[in-house]
Amino acid sequence: MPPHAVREPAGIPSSGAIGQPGDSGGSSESRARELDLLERLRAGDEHAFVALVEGYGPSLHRVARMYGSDAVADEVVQETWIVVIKGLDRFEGRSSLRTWLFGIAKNIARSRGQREHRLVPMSAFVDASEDREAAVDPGRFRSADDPWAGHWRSYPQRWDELPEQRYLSAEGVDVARRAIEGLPSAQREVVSLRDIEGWSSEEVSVSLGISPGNQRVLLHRGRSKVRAALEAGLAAPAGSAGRRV
Amino acid sequence: MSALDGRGPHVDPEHYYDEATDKAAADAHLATCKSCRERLEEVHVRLRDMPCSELVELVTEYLDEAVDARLRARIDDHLRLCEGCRSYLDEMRATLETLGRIPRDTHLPDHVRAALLAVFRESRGGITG
Repeated sequence: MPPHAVREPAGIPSSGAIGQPGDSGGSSESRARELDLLERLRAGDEHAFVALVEGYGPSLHRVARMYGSDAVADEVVQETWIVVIKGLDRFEGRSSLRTWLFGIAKNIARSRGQREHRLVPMSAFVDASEDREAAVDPGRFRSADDPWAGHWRSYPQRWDELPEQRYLSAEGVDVARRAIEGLPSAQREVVSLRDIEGWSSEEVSVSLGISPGNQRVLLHRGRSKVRAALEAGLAAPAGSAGRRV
Repeated sequence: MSALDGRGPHVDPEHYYDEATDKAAADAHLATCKSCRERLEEVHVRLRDMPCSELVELVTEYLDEAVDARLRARIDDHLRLCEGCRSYLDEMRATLETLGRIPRDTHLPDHVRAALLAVFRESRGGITG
C-alpha cells in the first residue's frame, strides 16, 4: 500500500463495496470484511442487508437469467434472499459468502426451470467448446487456395483513427449494450460478469459452475460478437450507428 | 555490406507489410538486394507459422494471460509483423473499454426493498442495527 493511501475504514461497507471486482472473498482482508458483514447481518443490521442486496442483486439476476426469463429471474433472486435471511444463522462460513449466495440462486433457478419444464440451458455450456463458431467472418481472410491462406484480405480499420474515440461515446456504449442483449444467454451472462461487473475468470467459472475452458470459450464468442457489432456500428455515419431498424 | 547495397536503402522486412510502407520503393530495392530478400523470406516463414484467422481465436486467452510462454511468444512475434492483427487486438481492447462503460445496474425497486427488509426484520426478531 502506498504511504498516503487511506485504508478503508472498518464499518458498514458502502453498497458499492460488495459484489464489486476484487471483493472475491479471496484475500484475508476481504475475508475479514465478509465475516464482519456476516456479524452485522446476524445482529439485524438493516444497512448491511441493503448493501448486500444491492451489491449482489444484479449479478444474481444475471446468473438466474441463464435459466429463465427476466421476470422469472426477478423471482429467483427474491427467493434467494429469503433463503439467505433464513439461513444466516446456519451459514458456517466455510465457503465464501459469494459462493454460498450463488449456490442458493442456482439451486432455486434450476428447480424452477424443471418445474416449468423449461430446458435448462446447460447444453449451452456443454457444447460450447465443440462447435466451430468463428470470431471473425471467415470471408475476411484469404481462402485455402491462396498462398497466404488464413491471412487478412484487408486489414481491420484502426479505431483510434475514428473521430473522437467513437467507440467510447454514448452511441458506442449503446451499440455494445444491445449487442450483449442479443447474445445467447450463456455468452451474455459470462461477458456481463467479466466485462461489466469486472469479475475474474475464476470467479465466473466457480459461480456459474462451468469449467475454466468453457468460461473462456463463452467469453471469447460473446466478446467477438460485441466487437463485430461495434465495428459495424462505428463504420456507419455518425448518428446512425446502431439505430433500430 | 553498405547501406546502399542494392538500389535505395535496405528494407525493414518486419515492417514490409505495414500500410505505411512504400511498396514500390521497397520492391525496387528487393529486386537488387539478396540479403533483404532472404530476410523477408524469414519474415514469411514466421508469418506462416500462425495465420491471422488463428490469432483472432486466441486473443481472449492472450488477454487473460492464459497462454503458455511458447504460444505467447508466437503470438507476440506475429503481432510484431502483422499490422492487421495489431489493429484487431486494439479493437478488442477498445471493445473491453466500451463494455466497461456500460453502467452496473444496482437499482432495487422500492417495493422489493421494503418487502425484503420486512422479512429480514422479522427473522432477526425485530432487532435493528
